[in-house]
Amino acid sequence: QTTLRVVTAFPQGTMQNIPLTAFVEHVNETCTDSVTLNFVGGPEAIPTFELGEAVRRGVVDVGFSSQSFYTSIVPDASAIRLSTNSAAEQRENGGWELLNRIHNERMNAYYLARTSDGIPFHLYLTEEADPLDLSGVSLRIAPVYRAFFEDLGATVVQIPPAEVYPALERGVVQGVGWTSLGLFDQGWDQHIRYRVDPGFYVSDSNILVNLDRWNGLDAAAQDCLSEAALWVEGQDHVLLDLQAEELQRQADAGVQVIALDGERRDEFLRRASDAGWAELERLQPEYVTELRELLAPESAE
Amino acid sequence: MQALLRIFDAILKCAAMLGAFLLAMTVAVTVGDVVLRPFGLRYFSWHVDAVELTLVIATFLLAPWILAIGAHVRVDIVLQILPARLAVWVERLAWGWGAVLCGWLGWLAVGELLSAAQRGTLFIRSFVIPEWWILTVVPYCFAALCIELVLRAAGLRTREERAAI
Amino acid sequence: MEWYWALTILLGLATLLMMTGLPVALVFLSVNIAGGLLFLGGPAGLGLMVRNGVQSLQNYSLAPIPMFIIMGELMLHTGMAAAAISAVERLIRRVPGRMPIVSVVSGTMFAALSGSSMANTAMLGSTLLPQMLRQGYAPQLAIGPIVAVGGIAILIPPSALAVLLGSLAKLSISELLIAGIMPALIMAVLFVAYIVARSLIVGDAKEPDAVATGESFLQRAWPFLRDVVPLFAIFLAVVGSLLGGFATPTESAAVGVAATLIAALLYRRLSLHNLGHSMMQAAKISGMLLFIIVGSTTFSQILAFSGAASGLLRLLTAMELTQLQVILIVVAVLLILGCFIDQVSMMMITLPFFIPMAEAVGVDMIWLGLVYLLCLEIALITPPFGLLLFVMKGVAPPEITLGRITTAVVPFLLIQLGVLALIIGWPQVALFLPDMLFAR
Ligand code: NA
Ligand code: NA
Repeated sequence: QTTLRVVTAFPQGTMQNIPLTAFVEHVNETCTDSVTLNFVGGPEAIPTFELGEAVRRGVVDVGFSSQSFYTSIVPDASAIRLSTNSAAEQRENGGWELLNRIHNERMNAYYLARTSDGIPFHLYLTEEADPLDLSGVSLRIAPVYRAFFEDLGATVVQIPPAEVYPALERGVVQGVGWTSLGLFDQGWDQHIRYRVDPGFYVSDSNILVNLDRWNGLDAAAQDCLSEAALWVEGQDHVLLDLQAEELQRQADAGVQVIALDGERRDEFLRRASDAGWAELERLQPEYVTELRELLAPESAE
Repeated sequence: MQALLRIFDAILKCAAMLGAFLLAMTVAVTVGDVVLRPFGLRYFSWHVDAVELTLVIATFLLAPWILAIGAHVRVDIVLQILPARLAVWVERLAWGWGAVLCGWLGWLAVGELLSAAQRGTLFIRSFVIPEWWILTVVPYCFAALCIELVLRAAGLRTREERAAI
Repeated sequence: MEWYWALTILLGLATLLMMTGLPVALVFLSVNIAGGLLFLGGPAGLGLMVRNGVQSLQNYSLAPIPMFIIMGELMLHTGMAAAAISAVERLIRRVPGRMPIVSVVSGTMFAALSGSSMANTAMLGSTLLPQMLRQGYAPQLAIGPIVAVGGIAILIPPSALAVLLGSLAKLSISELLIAGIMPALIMAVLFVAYIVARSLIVGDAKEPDAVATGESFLQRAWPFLRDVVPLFAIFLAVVGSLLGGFATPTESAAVGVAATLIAALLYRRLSLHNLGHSMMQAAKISGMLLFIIVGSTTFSQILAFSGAASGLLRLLTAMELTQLQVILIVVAVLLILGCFIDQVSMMMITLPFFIPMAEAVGVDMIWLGLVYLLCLEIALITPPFGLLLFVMKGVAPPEITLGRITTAVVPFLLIQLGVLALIIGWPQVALFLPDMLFAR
């Protein structure tokens, strides 16, 4: 019977933590005689951008984080957001194995599970604009979509999360990138008027276990955790239902959709994908070709 | 010995002046971006990342100088109440412990620096640099603090020097 | 380890080490080493702690601290602050406790020019304190008002902390800032009342009112028009760039520095020498504060990691409470935490617990935000960890001890607690302004 310490990179009380909460409860119910998960806290305990390091050296046994928070250690992991196939397909075609090997090598971590699959990012705007030509529009960026928004011609402004609200309120930026979930968490809905469809990229929140800790677990604990991992990856319908609710809530709040169709839609998605892969190629080319074949087969031609 | 002390003081002062200069630059690049942004000119679009880095670098460059001029705040209530002879000893012990602490932290910081350099981790923002570049200021800070605290524990820093700001 | 043991060990060790006269920043680093060994799993944890310390400064929201301090030092060393204060001084006369009142009035005025309490205290402390001591005011009465009025800067816009609180707690920042104005003014009036009463009872400075009495009101008002009124252009630059959508809250601090530089140029007071001197002084104070933040941020992380913070808060949130009880608990926790850690860490640790707790019982969130701001303000002057006490120690003559500063602040601390009690008991005093302006 082992107890593992769990820390999340997302602020407590936000929707991003829903899969982790479910996972912890599930493990503590089903693995009673092999392993227990002890939830320690969030960024107030380990800073978001240091959680990867904390998992690497075993200060935290289990970390719940998005690749964008630990790019500095595992640049290749940014390929996860460029996936066009599902986590389940990646389990089948060897994509998961490659990602696990990369996490083993660079982060000393076991890539136990990948949640939030199927939750895309969207471009949200306070004023109407042509998504394929954003010249003259200022957007708040995060590393996830910096390259893409620059490619669309936008003026990108970097703003820490806490200041996004006043920046939207005052018009310093006329838009943000964010997932389909959590717009209301931030109060941003008060200023956002438009959402661009389709969404692009996919979210990822990964459950990572310190590799030494993982190897030290007995087979029963490893099996039970792996089963729980598959279970939680199969729980993404919970988030997808939430997403449907959120999109409805956005519509009720008066957020209008700027829809791209046909060729324009294809161009938007292709430019998103190309910008992301080109950036990864620059940062860490080692596994790019393999990753693209396994995670985004149709873009690999 | 005096000559060595003067060189040490000069190093602290130079590092501090660099730190102050960097802080001034944070203002310059921020205002630069605010003023040019409405015209679509993005020469300083990297200013947020640069400012964040500067806060780190300037703080660690400044800390040893601030200790040397006696401007790090400390709670002196108990030292005032204690008999003078005892107070001197408590104070010396505190400086001594501080030296051990900073030596220890400096050693840890060197470890982090080497580990980051060896693993090749990156600082990836609007510009990409090796992470260990940033971590170089930390060993400097704690090593210099350690030396300064040893000087104080050994009674080589007089009160006048300490009060001079 | 049970959370209450962790809490006792960490806070106890911190208090004990502070008493030895070890610099506060090093006290935190010492406790962090102990906490790292105890809770972060030994050597690997210690290395991570060093990284967390570096990470704690990689925070754009901290940028206003040096910027607002540079602003204050520029006003100080170019002589703009002294000119403004002496203009205020000429308007205020024939009252008991004249100079301390001048510091309250100037402090409240500078609160509208600056978003940083620390910069305000540094500025008033270095200009007014030596003057008051020279004129024979008791240190008790000379120090107290300067330190206490510094905190008003976080209640009156622009305010770095109010912006941060509004953002973290998802409150309307404009409503919060407007709500802060009445309590700030009430506080300033009570400070003045106390100073007058005390001067009448205990006696004023030995040296009497030195200002010539033959001048007409216009002659006395002219310096105010010349040296004070134009400074409000700086206020307009900071608040205007923010409200006009040109700058984010942090960026507006840099705009403030630029406006101050321009003002100094126009007054023909800027020289390479006083610019360099201002920068070194600002670097000294901001470096001191930022180095404490390295230690205290990591300290609060270890408090959180050890389960001490959440254990305490979970115990409180488990009870079934009324609105008033919730507010009282918030106040009690914040006032106690405020004795040991900095404002930003206080918000980081407590908001995730208190926001849902308050929402559950339907507390008016602007009221809660205001109570938070008042507690953060009070925490600036409560020992042993009171940032404004430290800033004052940094700029005061060496013979003024931290102990003396602390005792001088006590009456003003009591007044602030009184205002806090007033706002808790009678929220409308503060909330009628935002209610009226924003039709809430
Ligand atoms: Na203010
Ligand atoms: Na305090």
